Amino acid sequence: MPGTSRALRKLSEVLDKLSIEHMLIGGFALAAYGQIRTTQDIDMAIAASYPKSVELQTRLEKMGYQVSPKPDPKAPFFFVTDLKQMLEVEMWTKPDGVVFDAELMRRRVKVNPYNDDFAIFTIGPEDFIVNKLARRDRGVQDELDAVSVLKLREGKLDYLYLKKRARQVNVLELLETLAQKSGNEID
Amino acid sequence: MLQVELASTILSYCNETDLSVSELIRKVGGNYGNTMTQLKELKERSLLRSEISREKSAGRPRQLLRTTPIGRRFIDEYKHLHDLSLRSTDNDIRKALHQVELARRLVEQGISPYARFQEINEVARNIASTAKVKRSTR
Repeated sequence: MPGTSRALRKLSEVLDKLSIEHMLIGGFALAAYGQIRTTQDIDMAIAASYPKSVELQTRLEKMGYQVSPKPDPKAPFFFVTDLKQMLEVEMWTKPDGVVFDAELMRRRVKVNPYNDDFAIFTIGPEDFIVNKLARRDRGVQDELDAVSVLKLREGKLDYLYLKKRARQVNVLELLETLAQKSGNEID
Repeated sequence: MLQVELASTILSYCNETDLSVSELIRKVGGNYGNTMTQLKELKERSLLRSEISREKSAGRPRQLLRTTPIGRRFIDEYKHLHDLSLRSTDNDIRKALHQVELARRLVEQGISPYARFQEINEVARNIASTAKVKRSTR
């Protein structure tokens, strides 16, 4: 079993015990949509209020994880390092462009990343695209990840929902321009 | 005339930390004369100011550049505008579409991209951690 599998499974169990809804975002979510690129860390979005997030961080530290920086209500994420597996997880309490609501939760996709009995949610494809385009430090790779999902899910995306979310976080024009340039119809 | 991109770079650097003119020029790189012209322009427009360092040191007192409050506003507004442009080029997008095509072929051959991703990622992680160990044992 790869190290990431053990680490991810353990973390997911802790989150479940604390009743914190969670889902993969970033490179691990991209792979669920069929695109392959390497990534050094795991990005996870967690629906946790500040007190709940502090509770989680305290629990993880007690279990031997390294958690940094110190809890801060304004911080959008914190790092959790599994020192045994040398794996870093970015826990996003406020992922860019992502609104934790019932619709986001309903659109999550369950995946078996290691082809075994371990299942975990990834962010839905439409929300994945919006998250990538809304990143405050958006770079080339983020845009290309969005293009990949637009293409791999061509005709299967909920374009009305995608545009609604993109409009909410001010990235609709970016989305339309990228779609145009990559030959993806979103109308 | 103000060159918006260079002006924003200068203002960002001077907003993060106090820099002397020579330090700023080293950081910005590029043409010396051009940067000096922009500095003059930014000061005239009150987006940047210079003040004498209070630190006691040998030699002439240092002149430090500081971004003014409207200079900071300029950076914010420019960032909004900059966010409107794409970071990727046509070539980047072409490459991404090619990668999508390759991923599709994997699926056609019955190979799970997720399984392949895990394998490749594990190899990449091992290489990265080996490189870190090597660096730290040097």
